[in-house]
Amino acid sequence: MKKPDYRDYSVDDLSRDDYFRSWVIDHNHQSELFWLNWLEQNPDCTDKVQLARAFLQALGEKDTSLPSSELDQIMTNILQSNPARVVPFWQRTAFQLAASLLLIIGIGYVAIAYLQRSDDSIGGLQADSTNLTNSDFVETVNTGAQLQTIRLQDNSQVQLYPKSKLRYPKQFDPNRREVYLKGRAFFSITKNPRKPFWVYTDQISTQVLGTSFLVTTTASNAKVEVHSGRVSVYRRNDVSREQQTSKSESAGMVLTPNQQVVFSNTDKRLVKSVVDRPINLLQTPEIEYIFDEAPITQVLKLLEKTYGLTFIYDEASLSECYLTANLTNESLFDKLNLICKITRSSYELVDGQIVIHSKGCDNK
Amino acid sequence: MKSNERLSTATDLLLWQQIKNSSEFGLRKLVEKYFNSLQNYGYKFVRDEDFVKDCVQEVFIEIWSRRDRISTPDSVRAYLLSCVRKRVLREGYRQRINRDDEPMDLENDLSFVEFSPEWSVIEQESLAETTQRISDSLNQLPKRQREVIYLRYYQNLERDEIADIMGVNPQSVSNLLQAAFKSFRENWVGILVLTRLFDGLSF
Repeated sequence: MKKPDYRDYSVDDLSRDDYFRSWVIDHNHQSELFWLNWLEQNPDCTDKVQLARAFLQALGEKDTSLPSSELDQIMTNILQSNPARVVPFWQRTAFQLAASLLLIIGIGYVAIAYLQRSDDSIGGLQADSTNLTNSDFVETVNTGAQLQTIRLQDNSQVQLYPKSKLRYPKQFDPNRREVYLKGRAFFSITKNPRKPFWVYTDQISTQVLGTSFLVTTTASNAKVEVHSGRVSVYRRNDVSREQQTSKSESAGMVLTPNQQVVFSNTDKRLVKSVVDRPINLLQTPEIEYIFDEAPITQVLKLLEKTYGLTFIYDEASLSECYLTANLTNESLFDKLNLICKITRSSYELVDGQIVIHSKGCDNK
Repeated sequence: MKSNERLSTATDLLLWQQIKNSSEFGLRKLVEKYFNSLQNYGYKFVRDEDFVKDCVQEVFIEIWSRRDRISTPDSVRAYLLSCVRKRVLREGYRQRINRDDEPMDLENDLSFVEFSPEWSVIEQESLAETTQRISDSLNQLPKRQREVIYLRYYQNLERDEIADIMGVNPQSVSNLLQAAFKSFRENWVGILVLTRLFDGLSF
């Protein structure tokens, strides 16, 4: 969909724009991604966007949006409390007939989909690109032992790991960039907010506007790790459902640097977490990690900035904790282990954030 | 007006037609599309979430049960909003009377735009602060002016639709809105950016 030039929009225009409203009022995930990126590119428009947001929020005052589970319940209520209408018998038969027909078609579809998937190619994925013939695609399989670098038409770079397969069009679609992956690859995507970049795998779909991240698929799970920028990850099923109904439900997850999401085939759920080896996003001078009787909260704040991750802790119970240590060459988790040992606390990872539980350091 | 608005209106009429043909799918789409904003509107009159949710649900129940003889409104959205408004006000009165409370003038007792503390947790502080300031300014407006602003901006409605819902003539809607903006601007003296950005106000 072509977007108007929002730079010319006034607060009045913005607050009445559907796409803007779907972000602020409906918390639509894709719109959010678009607007956050747009703001990054048009920082001078921050004021008016902020004002339009605040205006709608002040008017709305209460977030009344419903989760889809509740919607199901409401639908049931509405349909069931329908005052008893006599349903003619033939109508029921017709309904049953239609239902069984649907069932047969459904089983057929599932069977075909299953057969296609089991022949161990990315053939099953072709269904998503029905408007393109096979010859428009390039399929690269890395049979060597080294990383293989592929440069795409838009200058994005893909580093394909050994035994992995990437399928991509020679020419991208005008509205979106789409590639299909089996195995593992690191993506550095050229920024283009008008053409979101999609990476499809059997289980999950990843959407980005411009960023770098690693995608890994195995037989039992799929994983996305983010190095820079923002990425949203959806379950494959949710994406195809969305495209069919042309309605975007926020079934996806937004990831920021050093976060990852794992999809496991057993419980079919996306689980957000912190990557195994978080990277330093700041290139902070090493000297800053040498602490001498530094308040622990100050240390945590530095770590928060360094890794771009959120730390959750009780400031009061850590207020008596101090640290003298050299953390220059430790990884994030080594740093955390050390800090926890000294401050008699423990940490856990919850939803891509780090939660610190402390008993306090007042030595009583 | 804007093309996507026309599209939305056309979709609504299509869904309405489907409902008249007993399509549960059509009903579901309409409920999905409007339940949130209808609930939000109802909450402006009665601050009881469960009560408002029931009211909105009953509006849809009534539509569904009368689907074979119901007529098609010009604007489905305006029709739904006005049904919710009527039902919430009526049921609100009744419940108060049943509970033997003093009957109150609900319609003029609109407690609009009360800053909800949730925002400050969800959003960055500066956004929360702006929201708070706008809330304060809105709260100084007379109730009917606030309702016009709400319907115009939050519900994104046209003048004639607002007139239908509130049961006044379109000219009064314009007058209310002009008056609202006049005082709204006065409250915002000092925040120059607003007056500048809101110039170019339509109708």
